[in-house]
Amino acid sequence: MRNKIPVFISAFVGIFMILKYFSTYPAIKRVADELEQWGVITLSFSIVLGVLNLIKINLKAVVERKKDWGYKLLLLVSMFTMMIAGGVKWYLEEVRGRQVNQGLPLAVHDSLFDFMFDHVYFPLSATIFALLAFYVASAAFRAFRAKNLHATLLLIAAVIVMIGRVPVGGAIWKGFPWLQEWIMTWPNTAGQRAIQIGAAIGMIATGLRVILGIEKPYLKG
Amino acid sequence: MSGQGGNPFARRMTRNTGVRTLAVLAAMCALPAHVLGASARVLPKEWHHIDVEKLPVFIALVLFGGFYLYLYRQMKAGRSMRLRRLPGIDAVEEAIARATEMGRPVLFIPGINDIDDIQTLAGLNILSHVAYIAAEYDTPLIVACRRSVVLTISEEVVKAASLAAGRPENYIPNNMRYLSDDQFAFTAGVNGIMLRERPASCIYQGCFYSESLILAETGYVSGAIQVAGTANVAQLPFFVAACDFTLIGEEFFAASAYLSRDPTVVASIEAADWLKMAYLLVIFLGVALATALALFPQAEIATLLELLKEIF
Repeated sequence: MRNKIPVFISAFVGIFMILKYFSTYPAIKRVADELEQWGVITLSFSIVLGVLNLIKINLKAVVERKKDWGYKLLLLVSMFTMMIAGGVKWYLEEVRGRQVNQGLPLAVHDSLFDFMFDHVYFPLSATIFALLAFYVASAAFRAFRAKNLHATLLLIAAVIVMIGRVPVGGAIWKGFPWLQEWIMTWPNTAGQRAIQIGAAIGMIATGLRVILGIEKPYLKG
Repeated sequence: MSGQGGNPFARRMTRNTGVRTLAVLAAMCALPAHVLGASARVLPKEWHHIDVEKLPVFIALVLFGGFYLYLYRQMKAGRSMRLRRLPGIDAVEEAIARATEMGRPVLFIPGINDIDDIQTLAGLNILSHVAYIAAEYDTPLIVACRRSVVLTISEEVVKAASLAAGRPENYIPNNMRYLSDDQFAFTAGVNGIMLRERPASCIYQGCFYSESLILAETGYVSGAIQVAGTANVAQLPFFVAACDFTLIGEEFFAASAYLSRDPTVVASIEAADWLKMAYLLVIFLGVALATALALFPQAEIATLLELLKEIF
């Protein structure tokens, strides 16, 4: 029974989602939308589990003075500071704001939360993303080494595409822009579509296996 | 018959058996569309709520279901099915063995999407296998999650696999980590784990976006053996460039069948292959019709091509 009920629920919800996809019948759409809402609510509650996991693991490391406990302390301090700052912002906008703004929420843009979001969180996030530029160069350097026939073909294609995409390519030889366009439009698109068709069929197979209860990755315990 | 232009070669070719065979084949493919279209016209009003635009997906589902049922019965009757080798999956065991030899942990990431993504479910299937081998080898397994629901299910998966391997003590709750819901905060967290705890093997199986290369390059810098798998076409080149082994698209979804060898799951893989063959036939038919239309612009060929496009 412990296994059957979740399989039944997943099959029921999955079949309704499939029906919603193929049908525009209002009753089916209504039930499927309702089920989706339940999913969203359940998922949003689960954030508490994540926060508890973070606190449990990091607090234990700090208390026991484990290796790198300083980073973990910083993480906990940052998390609670942002949570408190977010709560204060909510209070200013929703409670205090309504008192002074004829019952309507008042947008506050100069709170501690906004300051930390704009001047700490956002630059840090952008910094991590910016690392990608350097990593692309280092990965390309390794991938383009002509070790065998395939790597050599990759190198030749990459050089043509890179040269053809910059103005100097056309200045060197007028055929470069056309050649890179041809590589991107035909061999590249054909290869990508082959992978996409295979992946799409794999998704259909995996989706049906999960809906029909043949595979139960969510029930491994 | 219209379109009998002045080209005698074209007229001869219109009568040619090959073109007629193609026409018959296309008509056979077009038949379901006509039947469905006619049904939609004669059926009661409430049946008109069927979204005809999604007919190709419906046909794929019906075909897959039919193939699967047939192959499943065949397997039950004793037919054996062979799966080709997947070096990416075979490499997982090597990667865990390497971690065991080095006395360092294995890091597993089941993608960055939530549990409603089919790639995450496929990744969790592979996690079960990885956790089982890691428990057998008595090697610590760290699982880093971006979503808390994925973390909860990962905990259950690893716990069950460790128990099945006869080493429940290998499940270490502190190694099941939720890092952050934010994409780049999660990436920074995983990079921190890679550089501080130095896992000997990093296994990425699931849905990844722009963080794929940041993770894989950091793993490379830390000296880990890396096995990746995703169906996100845009991220595959990054994984191929930076990882030792990569499961590409359909291989990633076939991994659970490859690992479990369960006949019910293996039958679905062969059914997917049959569906792919059916699509290949349709593609060949479309190419042939389009080429024939370009060479001999006949109204019949154009109609057949349009019908084919309508269905698929």
